[in-house]
Amino acid sequence: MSNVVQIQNVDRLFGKRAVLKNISMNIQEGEIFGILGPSGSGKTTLIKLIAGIDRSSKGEVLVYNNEMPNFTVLPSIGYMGQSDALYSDLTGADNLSFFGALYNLKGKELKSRIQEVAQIVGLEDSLNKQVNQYSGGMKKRLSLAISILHKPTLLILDEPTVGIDPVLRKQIWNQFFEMKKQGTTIIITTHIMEEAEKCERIGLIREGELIALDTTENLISQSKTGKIEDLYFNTEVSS
Amino acid sequence: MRVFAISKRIIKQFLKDRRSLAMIFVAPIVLLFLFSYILKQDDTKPTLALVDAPPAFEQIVKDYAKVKNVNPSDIEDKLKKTDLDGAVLFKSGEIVVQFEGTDKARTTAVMDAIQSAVKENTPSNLKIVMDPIYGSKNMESFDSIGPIFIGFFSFLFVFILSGISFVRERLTTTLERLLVTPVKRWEIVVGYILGFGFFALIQSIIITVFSISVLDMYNVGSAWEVCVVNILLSLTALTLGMLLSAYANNEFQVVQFIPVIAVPQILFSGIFSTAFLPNWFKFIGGILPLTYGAEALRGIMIKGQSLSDVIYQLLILLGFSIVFISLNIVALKKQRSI
Repeated sequence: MSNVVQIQNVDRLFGKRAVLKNISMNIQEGEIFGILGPSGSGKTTLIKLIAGIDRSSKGEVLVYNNEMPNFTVLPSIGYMGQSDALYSDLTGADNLSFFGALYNLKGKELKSRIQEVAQIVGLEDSLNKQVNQYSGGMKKRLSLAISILHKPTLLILDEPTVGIDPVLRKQIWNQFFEMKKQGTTIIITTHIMEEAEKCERIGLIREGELIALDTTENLISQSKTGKIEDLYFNTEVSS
Repeated sequence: MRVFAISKRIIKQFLKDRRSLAMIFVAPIVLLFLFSYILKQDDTKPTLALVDAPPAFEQIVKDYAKVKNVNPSDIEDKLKKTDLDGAVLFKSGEIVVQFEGTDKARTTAVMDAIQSAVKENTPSNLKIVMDPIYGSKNMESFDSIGPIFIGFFSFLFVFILSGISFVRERLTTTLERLLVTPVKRWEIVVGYILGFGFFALIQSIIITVFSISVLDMYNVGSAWEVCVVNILLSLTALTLGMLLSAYANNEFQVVQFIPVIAVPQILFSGIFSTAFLPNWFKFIGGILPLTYGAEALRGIMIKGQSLSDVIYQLLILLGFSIVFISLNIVALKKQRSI
């Protein structure tokens, strides 16, 4: 399997404060990769570097062997940030068709894709409602729908299932597994352990440092209690 | 095309926002209407009281002022209450004019009326004929500074709206989401310009038609040329608003730019004469877009010039816009480096 994302010795400084310190990791094609860490540990900064909307202070971030940001790579990336990033005075359908147009989707193709993704996130009946009438969970689902609209091969999601009820969360995860089967690489940040356990490999971040990187089973077996979070308290863990 | 997707989205959003629609279309009309009324009052006749006036003078002064019969002992009191604008007391060898003195408009009106009457009362052989090169001698003050207000309102509201909506794009992180798509930075800026330009265009037409047809503002140029100047002026407002929003952290900070950026422009735009001010002062006026917009509008409306006569001003306005657009495209690099 080839590497979709290659991160080498990356530092990210905001002023003098280092948010990421010497991070190196590779993410392979078709895997579901979890970035686990407490709030403020640098998860979001890391995936912003991968998505190309931030630049590292040192080191390099390659996606499909191109340094990010890159116009040949951007169309194959789907990104969902932590906040919903929606135009709340427009309808759900308007939001979808706007972002679809930015990916050069149009006409019938765009319409059918909108229906497809709306069905995946369970919003097919609310597409013509204005987004400011949506509940928090609905906004999150619409945001997710936008990120998969153009069939990206690399999907980057920042805390994707926060505020989504368990039934729908399961449904969305099934969709992730389905997309993985079709070869999509998925990167997910989370601070919830059970969510992380659904990923195949996990990178643990604490205060900007990668403290562990392994398959989920290995990480679980390394911890004494069978819970990954114990690894945060175990200073002997090496990455 | 991505540019049109962005402008279409802006138009759609804006049409749903009734308050902003009212601000850009109705507010300038209401303000122009109010200004025209305040400024037209200069031409009404002052109310005067006469004491011991010769009948001949009384006859003549009635052409220039309303004469009220007042008991001489009440005059001071009535002047204070502004029931009277002035009083003319004929004494041996002199004419004393009393007035309240704090309101310059009243004072001037009183003086003008009395001077005209005195001139007519004691005719000299020399007749003074007023012969202005531009405008007409009956021009009201609203007519001469009206074009500046047209320009200022075209500028102000577009400036506020474009600044706020662009800062909002950053705050709601939709800008971030835009930038993970393959959209180019220039496509975002041009999309914004087309979207808001659409409304700026309608606003310019409304303001022009309202000022000329409804308020009957003095205009010897052609209306469509007035409109063209307005649109160019709105374009600078639009691009400047967007640019400054990059330096604002929230909507409130955009509004804070109004006293700093928008208001000084009106000081230098020719409402107050800057003819006798030092050069450094004129230099400041020279770097403000409204100065050129107002010059062009006055040229067309009062002097009856055509677009080719004010081409210098128009090119400078266009130059401002091009500079602001380029800076905008560069400023977006802060969010995504390509």
